[in-house]
Amino acid sequence: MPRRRPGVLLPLELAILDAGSTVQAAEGSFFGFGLARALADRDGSALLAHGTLYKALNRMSEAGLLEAEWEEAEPAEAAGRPRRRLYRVTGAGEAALRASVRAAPTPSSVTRPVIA
Amino acid sequence: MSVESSGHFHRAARGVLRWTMTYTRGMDARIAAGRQDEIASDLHEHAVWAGEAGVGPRRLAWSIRLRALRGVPADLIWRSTVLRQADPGVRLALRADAALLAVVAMIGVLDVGLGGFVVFRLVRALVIGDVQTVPGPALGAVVLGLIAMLALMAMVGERQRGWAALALAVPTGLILAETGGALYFLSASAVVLVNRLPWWEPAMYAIGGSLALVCVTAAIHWIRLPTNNRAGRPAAVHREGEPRA
Repeated sequence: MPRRRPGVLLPLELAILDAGSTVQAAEGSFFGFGLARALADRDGSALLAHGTLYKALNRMSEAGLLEAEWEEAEPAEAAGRPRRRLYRVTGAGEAALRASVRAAPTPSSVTRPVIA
Repeated sequence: MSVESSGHFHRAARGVLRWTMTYTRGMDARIAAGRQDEIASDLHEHAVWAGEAGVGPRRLAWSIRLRALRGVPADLIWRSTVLRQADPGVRLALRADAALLAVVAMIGVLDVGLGGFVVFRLVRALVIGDVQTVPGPALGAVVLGLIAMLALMAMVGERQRGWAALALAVPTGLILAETGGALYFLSASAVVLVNRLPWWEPAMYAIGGSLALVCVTAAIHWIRLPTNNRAGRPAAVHREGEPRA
């Protein structure tokens, strides 16, 4: 498998940054399943597979495009649900998203991948 | 009954969590626990969303299983990436464990195969009238093959893997000689072979004993190794997001 060039984002990563930024603007952060739902709603596709979603989120966190932290216990307990791992798009993530939008050959915002 | 408390959801969620435990096995406890908790949280959120969206329990379970299945290649790639960054000693231990499991599983399959072969020859001999009653060694080989099959099935679960390997040592030590004895009654070629090679029986016991020793070694290794080490998760780590009843 050919190695991808440093700084080049995969269509899935761009989609995560795009959808994640949108959710983050409204709610302050986003979590795995919420993001999967946002991507499915946006693209009219099926929910992203567990492995694909969390592998991408993990990789993007390590690359500094996202920051992740576990939610405090209190709100989760109050809502009667498990704690969520909350993600936020970092400055580097926003910059990468803007750069990819500028470099996109079509006037449309971000390449929207078909997510199986 | 809500979708979250349905049996369909719980079975599907348990399956996904079991798979998550499998592919995070042997990893750094913090990384493994993080992934397990995140998947458990995802399953809970999925069920809540399905309840709100009016999705039925069967469709939810199907959707969860499909998401897990489609993600298997990514899970395995992620595991491989994480383990590549792990301590060389940990990687070596994981490889050795996998090799031991493969060898013991192969021994189990051999035992079951021998038992199955004896069943086939026995049925054939009874049908064509070569024998009128079931010879003692044939019955022994079939029973040993059955024990091996049960032990092999029990080895799938990590908790009882050591005891299953120990149980497998018994049929492994005996089944070669029993199969030889059974074929003496069921196969004309075996009669010739047995008469020409007077040392076949000690040889079969020696080979069987050596293979049984491999099973016992593996059993001691797995019984002494705490399950949590294999699962890569200390018992003290609280699991987030277990699907709630």
